[in-house]
Amino acid sequence: MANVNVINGAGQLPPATREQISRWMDGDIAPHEIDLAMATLSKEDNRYCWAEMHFVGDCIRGIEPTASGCAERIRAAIAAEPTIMAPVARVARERAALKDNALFGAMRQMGRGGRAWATAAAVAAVGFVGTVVYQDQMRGAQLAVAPAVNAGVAQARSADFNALLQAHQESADATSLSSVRQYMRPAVAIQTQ
Amino acid sequence: MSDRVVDQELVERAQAGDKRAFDLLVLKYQRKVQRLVARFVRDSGEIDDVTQEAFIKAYRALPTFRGDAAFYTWIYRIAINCAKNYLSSPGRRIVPFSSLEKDDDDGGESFEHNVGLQDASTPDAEYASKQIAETVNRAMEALPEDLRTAVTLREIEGLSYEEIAEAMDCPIGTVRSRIFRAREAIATQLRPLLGTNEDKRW
Repeated sequence: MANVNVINGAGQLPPATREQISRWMDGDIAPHEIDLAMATLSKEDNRYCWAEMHFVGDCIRGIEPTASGCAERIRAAIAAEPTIMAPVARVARERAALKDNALFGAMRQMGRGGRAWATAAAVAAVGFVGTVVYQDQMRGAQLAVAPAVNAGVAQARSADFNALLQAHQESADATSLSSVRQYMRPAVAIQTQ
Repeated sequence: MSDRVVDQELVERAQAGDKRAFDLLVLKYQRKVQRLVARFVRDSGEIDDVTQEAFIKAYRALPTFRGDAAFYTWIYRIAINCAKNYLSSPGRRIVPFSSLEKDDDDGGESFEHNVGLQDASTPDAEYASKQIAETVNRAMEALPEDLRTAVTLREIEGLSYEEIAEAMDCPIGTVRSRIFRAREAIATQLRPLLGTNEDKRW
């Protein structure tokens, strides 16, 4: 890009176009102007203006002007590259916007009365879910207590049974088995062996 | 909207096959990238090589850029990686800048440290750069106070037009006009210095 074109091109652009480019490069651009801006900046003279204004800005910021710009050689190298067709950023942005719009759009369409009903329904839903969750938690607590109670009962039953068994053994030892006691010891000894 | 939104629009158009949109990003960021690369690489020819490599790598990697980060942080990171790879490649000369590690921490987004290009340039190029800087300073001093304030708030402080309007207590349309007139006045002074084919600034 020869700089002679800066004089013959960008310098002779209508001031209104240059002012537009000046504010567009600062992000002062309405959504409906974006297509116009891109169409304007696709023209060579307007691109020089864009480059020149950024150059001025860099100089004001104290970025020392380089010995030579390399945009021309970069442009030539990019021209030799295969054209990219991968609109990932636009897809990601549109998907995010779609998600936001779906929610807020639905809210907008409801109107004031609809929004009030939606709010009331949301509060009711939260209350209902909260109640269900609370009841579930209480039921869970009761179930957690039940095994402990059962364990206590079983322990008491076990104690009674042991006492009964002990009493039974004592009485059995004293009365009913007295006649066969002499045969029991060897039998027990055989079992243990 | 901010200028980041404009960058995003240009990236999206470049991803959709519009190479001219990518060229507008190159025209906007090439000097900043050159400046960043100059912190690592001394020779001006090598600076241009690494800068070009950074933009080509960025172009090839465009399909992976989703726009979660700003374009300039992305291209600066690529440029830093290119410069480091260049320095670590066999047969390359490493310039031991003492501030190298410190500079790396900010992701290359500040330019306070005035190292690099001045050392890299030839005497003629250095003289030309000095002449341009002096011309810009003179042009800034010659500006009416309100124009100088508006363009300073925009270019140096980075304020939006709304913020400048609030700070200067004037309508936003006046801010647009003041910034544009300031840029025009400076560009008019610079054009005679830039108007030769040998001295390509972009």
